[in-house]
Amino acid sequence: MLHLVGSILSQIGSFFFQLFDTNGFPARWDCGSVWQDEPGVGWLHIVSDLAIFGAYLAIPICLAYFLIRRRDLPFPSLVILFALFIVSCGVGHLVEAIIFWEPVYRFSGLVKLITAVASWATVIALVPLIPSILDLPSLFSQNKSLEEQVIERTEAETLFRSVFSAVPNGIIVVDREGVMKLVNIRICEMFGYTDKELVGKPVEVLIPHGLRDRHVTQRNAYFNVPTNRKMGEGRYLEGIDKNGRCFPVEVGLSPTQIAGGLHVIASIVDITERKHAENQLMQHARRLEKTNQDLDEFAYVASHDLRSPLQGVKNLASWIRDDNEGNLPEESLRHLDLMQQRIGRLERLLDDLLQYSRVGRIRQSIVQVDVAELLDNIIDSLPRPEGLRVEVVTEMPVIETPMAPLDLVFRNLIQNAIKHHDRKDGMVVISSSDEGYFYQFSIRDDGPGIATEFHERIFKMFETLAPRDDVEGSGMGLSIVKKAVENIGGKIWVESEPEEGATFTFVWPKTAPQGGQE
Amino acid sequence: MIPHNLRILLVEDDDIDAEAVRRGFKKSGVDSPLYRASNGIQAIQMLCDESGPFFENPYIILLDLKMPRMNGIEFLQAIRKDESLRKSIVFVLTTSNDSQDRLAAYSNFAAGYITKSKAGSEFRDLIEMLDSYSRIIEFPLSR
Repeated sequence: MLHLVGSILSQIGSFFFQLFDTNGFPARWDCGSVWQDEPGVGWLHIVSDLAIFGAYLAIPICLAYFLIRRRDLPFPSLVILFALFIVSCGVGHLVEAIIFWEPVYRFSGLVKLITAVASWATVIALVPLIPSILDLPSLFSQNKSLEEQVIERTEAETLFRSVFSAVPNGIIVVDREGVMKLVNIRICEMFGYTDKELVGKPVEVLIPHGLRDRHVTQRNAYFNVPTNRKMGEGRYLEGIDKNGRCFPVEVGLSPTQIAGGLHVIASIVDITERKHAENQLMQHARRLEKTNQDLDEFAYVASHDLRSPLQGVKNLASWIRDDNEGNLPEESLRHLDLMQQRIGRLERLLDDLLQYSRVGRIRQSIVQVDVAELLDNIIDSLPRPEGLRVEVVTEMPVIETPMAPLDLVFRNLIQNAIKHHDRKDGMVVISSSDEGYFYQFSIRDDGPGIATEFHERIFKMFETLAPRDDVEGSGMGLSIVKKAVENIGGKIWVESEPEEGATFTFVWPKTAPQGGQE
Repeated sequence: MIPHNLRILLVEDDDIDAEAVRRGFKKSGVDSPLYRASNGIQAIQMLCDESGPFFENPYIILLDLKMPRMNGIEFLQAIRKDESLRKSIVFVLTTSNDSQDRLAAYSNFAAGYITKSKAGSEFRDLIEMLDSYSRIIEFPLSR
């Protein structure tokens, strides 16, 4: 065994030792007489081999150049193997040409062996790569998709540019250092600068001097916790233009990652006009409130001041009657009766007017009202014909609310149902339901009903449907009720048809408005 | 019965209201003389008149508050400053139940604040009260 290995090694050794030894091999020119007779064939080989050698040497140089210049070339190891295989092929051809003079067959064999190994190595390396090579996009389709991308991007950019300048808001893109990177035309109009004057400057240029330091601190804080939000929520923000004019602004902030860095897109609206409108609205509201107060005040004073002359007239009428007992003609007595009846009506009207003014004027404290108990008290206190029944048919809630207006509403509605009923055996039904934020209460009667055309009119002041000599009333009851319900944030309406009774329904909020009932 | 030498001064601007009090007194059979002033200034003139009915006589004033020229509270303030009138016994008789009026009246030493609605029908309760009052108290001056 050792002997065998030793003889192989010594044979390989002598092979390399005699690698360029030509002893025993004839030069190609000497291999057969035809080479001598037709030297053109030999030269054809020689020239072709040399040309191939040159070309095969040039190809790997090109490949090497590629590899160096284009580091992103796919499969670089395969390219290197390919280059090696080409070079060895080329050298093989060179040796073939040399053999015409110098028969270095051993060397030629070695070169062929190297070529064979390099070729197979290339093949072996190539086979597993075939699927990935097949997946490589063709240059054509790559180009096409690139072109499409370019078009898309151009379109997107055009769209961005037009949106950026068309939006009604001013937009500024600011980087982490507070430097303006991009401003749109609205910003330039708003602040009176050109965009060249702004881009590259700190955003604080647009902020009134006194607020700049604070803004720097706040800006840094924002970049640490960037979120989509309004700037300075609840605060009054101001910008300053090139001429030093300050104006109110509203600013929305949203963080964005552009060009590898965190930026903030600030969207700015000049709210001068809105503020102006708000102020005007507020003034109007104040004036309206004042007018309402004056009206309530007037009603209060009027009802007070009208009462005392009325009291005088009432006294005089009763004195005339007392002082002339038995002496007055029948006609005059009847007139005195009518006079006293009218006086009573006027007194009630004044009472109601006073009550109407109080609904808006008197601040009511909020208490726990057990509606069932409240209704019991009201029903007990209201005079009514023997056969007429008033019934509460559902559970009644307990509400935290001002007591007086709720009492007033129920009292008036139940009283109306009794007063306007046309039969002795009538029925008034009171029910309630829970409607989320509200309780809904209904007072239903089986009386004469109200025609649809009167449904709105009955809630107006001084409107009555029955002649006052038939059913006494000031015509203010429902308007007081409506005012009380609406004052607390509720709603009242009536559903009724003639001959089918009437249902008055109102909703009452579960929580009374703050500062309401003033 | 209200002593017949007791003078009563009603300070009231409204004729009918004054008439109502007068009728009430008459109906209850009070025979004390009832005098009337239409406002504070006139009342002070009457009280100060040395030949008038109030000079050195026991009297009670029934005072309305809402009056022209000098109202009830101003009248009270004026007499409390006057050496000879500050001793006057004054009952306020008014329709107003305003807490500020009430406070101002008592602060100026009103003997009582009576709203007309509580004076009873035809002032019967008021007259009854004045009756017992004038019988059991000692007046600042008596002759």
